[in-house]
Amino acid sequence: MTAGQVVERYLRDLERAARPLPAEHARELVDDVAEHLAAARAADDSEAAVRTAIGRLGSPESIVAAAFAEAGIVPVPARIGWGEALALVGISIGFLLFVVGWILGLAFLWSSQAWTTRQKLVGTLVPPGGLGGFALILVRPTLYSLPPAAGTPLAIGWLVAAVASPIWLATRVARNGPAMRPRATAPAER
Amino acid sequence: MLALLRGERRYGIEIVELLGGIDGLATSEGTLYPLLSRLRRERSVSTSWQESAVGPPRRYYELTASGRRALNAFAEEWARYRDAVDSLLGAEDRSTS
Repeated sequence: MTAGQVVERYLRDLERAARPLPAEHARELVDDVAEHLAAARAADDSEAAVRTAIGRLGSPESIVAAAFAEAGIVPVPARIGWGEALALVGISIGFLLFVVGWILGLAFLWSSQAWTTRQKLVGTLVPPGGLGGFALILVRPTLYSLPPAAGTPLAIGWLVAAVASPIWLATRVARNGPAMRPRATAPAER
Repeated sequence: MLALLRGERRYGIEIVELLGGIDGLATSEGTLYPLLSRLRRERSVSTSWQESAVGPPRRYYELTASGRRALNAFAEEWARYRDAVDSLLGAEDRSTS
């Protein structure tokens, strides 16, 4: 492996490890370490020298752990808890429960840290009312004052969206990775 | 870290190598970058890019006025803490001998 490849792999590992950090912190960290290694390579570009420099930097995990400590945040493991489950049930079938269920589902959806704002918007609007909206089309096709021909494709599309959207949201939780919450104590002064 | 910058401005790799090499501050160089990043964000240090004779341009770090104040405050507090520990250890020595 050449010195360049060693550096590239290390930076890629660091980038992956830094993903749970706030984006700005992650970018700064990777930039700083990349700059460090570029300076080290300017002094000695042999593979052995680069490996020594990386050894002194430490593992990507330890660097990211230090970044968490400095930023005063701790990662909250990504998992579907009670709040997330109620959110998904609420937005899919809550509408059938006198509409209130859907609104409660939205409250759980928006108060959860497991999703990004964009994902929460999708959960809210695709489709509005979830399966309840689908039921409305079936019961009152004239409600949306659509030509009869448009009714069936709309109903099918609605049904697909109402089922797919909560499933998609459920799969996002693990993909989003750990959420952040502020740590109780301030970082120590150094 | 701020103390390293008291007398002069230095560039990033120089700071972390100096700190990483100090006995008693067992730390890997990489873990110092998040600290440096926080000092930047707090505006305790300011940075400027400068061309280098060898290799890529270097980012130099310099203490700001607020960084200097933070350093002085810490130095005072540290002296008090050190004196307190010294006096406790001194008392222990006398009682055991």
